[in-house]
Amino acid sequence: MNKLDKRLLRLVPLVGVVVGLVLAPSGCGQTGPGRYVLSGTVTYEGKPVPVGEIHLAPDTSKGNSGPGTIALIKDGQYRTQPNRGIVGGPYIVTILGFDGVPVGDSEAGSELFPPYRVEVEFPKQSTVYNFEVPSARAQKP
Amino acid sequence: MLILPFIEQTALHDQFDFKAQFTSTSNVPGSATNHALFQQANPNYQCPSDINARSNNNNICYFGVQGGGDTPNCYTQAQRVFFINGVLFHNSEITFRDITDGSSNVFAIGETKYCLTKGGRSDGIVAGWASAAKLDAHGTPLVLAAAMLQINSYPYHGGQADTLDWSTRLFGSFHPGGCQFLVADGAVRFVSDTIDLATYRQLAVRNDALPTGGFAQ
Repeated sequence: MNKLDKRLLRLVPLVGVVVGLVLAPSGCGQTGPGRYVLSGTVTYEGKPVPVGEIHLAPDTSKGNSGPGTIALIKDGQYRTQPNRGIVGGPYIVTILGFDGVPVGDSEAGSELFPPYRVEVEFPKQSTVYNFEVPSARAQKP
Repeated sequence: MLILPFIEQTALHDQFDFKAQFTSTSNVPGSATNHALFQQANPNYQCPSDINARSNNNNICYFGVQGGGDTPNCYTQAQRVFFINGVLFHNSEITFRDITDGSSNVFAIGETKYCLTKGGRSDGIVAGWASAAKLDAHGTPLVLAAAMLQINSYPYHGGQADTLDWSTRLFGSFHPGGCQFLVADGAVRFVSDTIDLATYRQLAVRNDALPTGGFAQ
């Protein structure tokens, strides 16, 4: 081993420290608050919603906080994405449903109902929850 | 486009015909001159971490922040949303004195991986860095987004899925764990995708006097 190699070897721990310093503030490896899987079905007028979205926002008016998340609805089924679950507690849930028949340049298609908002309290564990969107005619204007 | 002279791209700025129509998406082309420029890549608007940021691709990795909240001012088809409570929105003339929350507490520009680009749609329609708003029955902002949904919460990027119905509603990047925002005072902040949603939305609104603590230090 020549002199230069030895000097390089001495730098190894320093490199480790530098890499650690760079990574630490960037949040690598942080998992944040506990996240739980939420899954289930979404129906509208008794039928599965073909394409849609569920927006899940912690309800701050009831003291909840944390990151929001979304779940995609496909053929009436939904499931939060890996590592992007809910934190549990009171939530404001907004459901969008589309007919899945492309219109213009939109692949999701036309709205089945106006965005449907409902307040739900979820347990702090992985949960199955089935949503039934009431008929648009029955919803308050 | 109007900021090109301020990022040493005056020559490119001067090639555009500002009296002619601009391209919105590639299927709604503007004038021949403007459409040809729309199709060119602009490396200044591309983040090296974005796998769609290639020298032969016209995508953009930075969108103006048109506002934030859970309900847009209006929307078309499948939630292509328009907000007007941010710093940059269509026909906005927001100046520093309008940012009453303080320029250190309001987002101006954020990173996105949701610009519809090559590979996103089977019919080949793309948006790009020089896109103007699309103004038809399926209209949408194309270089603006709102802090409406959590950062990175839509799992697909604009090179693998049709993001036209998504790109106006959230920000995101290929950086692990969040994305960068340019704050109105000129600072660049990395914002975690686990940020409290309510706080995040408030940071995109210029005049709501929230969040009360300002930007978390």
